[in-house]
Amino acid sequence: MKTQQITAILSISLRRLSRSKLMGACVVLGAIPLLIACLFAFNPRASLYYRDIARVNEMFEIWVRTLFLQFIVFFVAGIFGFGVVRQEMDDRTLHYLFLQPVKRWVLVLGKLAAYLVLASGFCLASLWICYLLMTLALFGPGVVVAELFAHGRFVILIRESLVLVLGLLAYGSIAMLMGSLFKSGFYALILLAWETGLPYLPSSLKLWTVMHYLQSLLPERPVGANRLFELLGEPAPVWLCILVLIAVPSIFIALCALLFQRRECLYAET
Amino acid sequence: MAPDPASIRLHNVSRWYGEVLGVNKISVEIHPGITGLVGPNGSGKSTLMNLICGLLRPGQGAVTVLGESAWNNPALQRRLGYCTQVDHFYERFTGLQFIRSLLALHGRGGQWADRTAREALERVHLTESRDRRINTYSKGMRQRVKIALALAHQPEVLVLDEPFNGLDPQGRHEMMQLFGDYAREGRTLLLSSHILHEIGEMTNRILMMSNGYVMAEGEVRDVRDLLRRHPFLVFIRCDKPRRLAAMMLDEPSVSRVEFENQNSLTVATNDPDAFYLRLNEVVLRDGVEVDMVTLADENVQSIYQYLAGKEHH
Repeated sequence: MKTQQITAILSISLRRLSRSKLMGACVVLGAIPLLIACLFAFNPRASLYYRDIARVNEMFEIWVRTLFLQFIVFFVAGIFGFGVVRQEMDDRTLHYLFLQPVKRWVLVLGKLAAYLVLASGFCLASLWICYLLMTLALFGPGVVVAELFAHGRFVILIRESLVLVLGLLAYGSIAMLMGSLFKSGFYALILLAWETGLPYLPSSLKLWTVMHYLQSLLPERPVGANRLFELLGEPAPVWLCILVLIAVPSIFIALCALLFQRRECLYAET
Repeated sequence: MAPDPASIRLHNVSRWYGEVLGVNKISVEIHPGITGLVGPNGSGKSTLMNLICGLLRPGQGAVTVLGESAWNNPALQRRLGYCTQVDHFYERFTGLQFIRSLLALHGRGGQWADRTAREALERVHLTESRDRRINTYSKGMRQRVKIALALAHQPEVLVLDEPFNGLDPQGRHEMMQLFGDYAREGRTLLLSSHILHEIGEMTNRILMMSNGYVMAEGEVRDVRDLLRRHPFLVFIRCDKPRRLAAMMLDEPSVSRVEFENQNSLTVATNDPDAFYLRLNEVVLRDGVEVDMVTLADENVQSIYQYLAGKEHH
């Protein structure tokens, strides 16, 4: 029954989010890399400089670390994660959910699932389309298929996709708690400052960012981006990364569920 | 046979919003059948209903519904239906999608949710509009959707906050019949209104609230007795207010006349029926042209003030 209820709340939330203003903001965010990829792919000088697909791969790794992980994932998580619960309070519809025979933690999980499906859809579609667009335009399908399946690029992209999803889960759960607590997204900006600013501080503090563990999990360390990764600190072991990236969302989801457990329907005050 | 237990019990329940009083020290029992909750705006009716339906936590005291604690009790929601006063929806959903989606949260399968939602919309006469988006609905249709959602799963206890808001006379009549049918099946209905007349048509049992307190509990006729002792204020607009006033003061039921301006006056009467008869006579006999006659205190606000005054003295 719990699964049916989670599916039902996921379905309601997906439908509501996909018809909300938040969707427009995320479409714009998801389109930014696509636009850059188009400019790259259809620039006649690109084919002169990027004669080897390996060079495109290197450049794409930098994109994954910076454009996707530090920008797209962060903002999509912030917008959708914050809005997925906040929307119910701002629209004064939370009582419809509270008046159904559903435990509050199930509501939280359903909301999180809806957020994750939508946000992952955006980010992963953007990631894959960008890669395929750039490589197909420059090298044609034969080379790209060989690169994907004969040279292991497909597995790397899958692993990068998983890292993006873990990032969305971690940041989304934090944003969801913030959306449950605060009306304004201002506090998300503090998190932004923390996550983007802290890597440039002493290495002992770097360990306190989610970004550090996400970056550490990425499969390839791009040659041209060594300096950048040094700024972000030495990679943490995989087991630690996975532990942290599971623990962070678990803690924030639990806090969110606890908050919901005690929440009353007082629209004017929340 | 065991005595009929109260469906809803409130024992010494208080709820404050910071320093603002919601309800204070309320102890009542509500039994199967229809019970009316009347009181002016801000008297605590909605707070009381939110407490009963588990949306608010009592600051003090206990609220039990069907023997279970009401606060944050998902299992109880299967047996409880609540039509709130909040006029907000999933605006881009159709009426059918809205109810079906929320019923799906019962975890009884999509087919059950779909069938139950269709039946509920049929009961409130919204079948033809069920596939239209809610943001295209009229106020009355939105009210019907809320009622449909509240009663869709056939709850044993139905709580309805101002259910007739926005409904036309036909709609009110239909809903009154529907609620009456529910009560005859042995269910418990608690419905609020700030218009005593509406409640009086449906039930004899009422709770009167004012300023967060239950001021009176009992039968409508007791309140009607109070009404008889309490002067009605009638506003009249006419071409000769002074002449009309002179004539009306001969009528024993008229206790006071006040002039509002050159064309209107307010008359206080203890017997509206006798007053209206006398007014008709005067108008016909003396040729006074009356533009408007209306009750200056049509709702029961003045009665609450009257009762509140009595309590304080």
